[in-house]
Amino acid sequence: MKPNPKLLAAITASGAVLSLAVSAHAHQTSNHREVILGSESTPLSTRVQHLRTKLRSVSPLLNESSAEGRIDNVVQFFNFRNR
Amino acid sequence: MAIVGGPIGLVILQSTGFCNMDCSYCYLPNRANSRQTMDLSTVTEVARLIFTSGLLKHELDIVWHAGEPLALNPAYYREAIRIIEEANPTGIAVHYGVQTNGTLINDAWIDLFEEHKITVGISLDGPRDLHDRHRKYRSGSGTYDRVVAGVKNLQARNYPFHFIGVVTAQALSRPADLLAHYWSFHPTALGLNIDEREAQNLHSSMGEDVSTERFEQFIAELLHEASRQDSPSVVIRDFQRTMSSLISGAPEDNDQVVPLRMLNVAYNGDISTFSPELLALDALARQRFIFGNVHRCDLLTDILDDHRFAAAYREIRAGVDRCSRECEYFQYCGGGAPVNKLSEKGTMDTAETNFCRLTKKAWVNACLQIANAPANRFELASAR
Repeated sequence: MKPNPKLLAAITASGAVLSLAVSAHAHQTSNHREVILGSESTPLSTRVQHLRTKLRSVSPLLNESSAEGRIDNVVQFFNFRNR
Repeated sequence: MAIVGGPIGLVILQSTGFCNMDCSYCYLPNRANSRQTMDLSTVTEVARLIFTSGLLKHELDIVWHAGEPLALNPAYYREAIRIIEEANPTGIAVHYGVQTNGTLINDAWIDLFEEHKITVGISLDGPRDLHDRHRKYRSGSGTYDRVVAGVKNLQARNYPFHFIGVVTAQALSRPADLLAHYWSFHPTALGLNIDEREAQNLHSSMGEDVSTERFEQFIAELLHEASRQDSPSVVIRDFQRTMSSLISGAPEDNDQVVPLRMLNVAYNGDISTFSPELLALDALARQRFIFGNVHRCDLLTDILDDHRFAAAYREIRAGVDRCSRECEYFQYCGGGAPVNKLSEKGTMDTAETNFCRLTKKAWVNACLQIANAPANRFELASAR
């Protein structure tokens, strides 16, 4: 079976790759506009906290205080690394 | 007050201000003038200033951009790279890149890319009709066929490349079409800019009549289409950038508001920092952001003493402070883009712009929505 493609989300200081696997089912059932507008009624800080809680459940490495799991902000303009 | 600058991560060199195309949304002035070429003696001075600055990390990106770099010839870049390498006794890893419209890529160029592992970014706006609507030759004809021919030349040599596309209002109804088209060429990554009102581009199709919610919808559909591609991993610059910023727990390090994180050098040796497009403003406005010239500068840090730098930095800092007070998205942005503030609002001492509404807020909202959806899950793969 073909693996689902994943969106590259971040790379940790130790080089581990964090990806997001998007469910095809979520795509079929979501009215994007409705979901987005709905989620924005939740304060930004709460939405971010929810994200971080979800991440910590993936791996303890993704704790903000973990040096190994620290994620550098990627600020790319034209300076991609293609190799 | 001592100003802390750097470390320098990116140097943008305008090897030529000329472009063989004439895109409707281009921000560059005088781009039909083929005499705007950076002399190799200017490259020598840039290299001297960079490597004696004491502001380098262990890696440095040098990218040729702000004009069509391939309007020159491969020999120019071979010599420029030789000059830079000779001035780099420190062993700092220098990565070279070009951002090109792709129309001139042939085997001679790919030989150069291979010799120096040059990162190649191609500007493509998606399918032919979307691309050719804005990216034209001066004759008025579209450039899509020539760009794709260049891409195919890279593919024939198995040379990696990424795309940078400009999202215009006409693309908003076609996110899936757009994404699938990009991925049909198997790029390493995709970066999506918007049609911005900045410098010479006085009107944007992505103005205030494009709501934040409309653009969020576009992003959400684009990301869902990305997850359907026949590829194990899809790299979208703006998704990665936004997610990294949301996850890191630290305010975004905004390179456009910190002095000398980016060094921008015009073809004639004029030096600037902050937003690269500040060097593309009209001549009078541009003077405010020319902080020196490589041919008249002893040390790179001398530009921090320039009165024009002090005035610009004061105004940029005031704008960043305003963002930090007024905008709940500040932590995930770091204070916006000075050139967009100036071009949209007439001052850099301002907070929200249309640019940050679409490129920051909309991306943050859309990324949180897709990442927090219960059916979607994160996976962590160990370093290879």
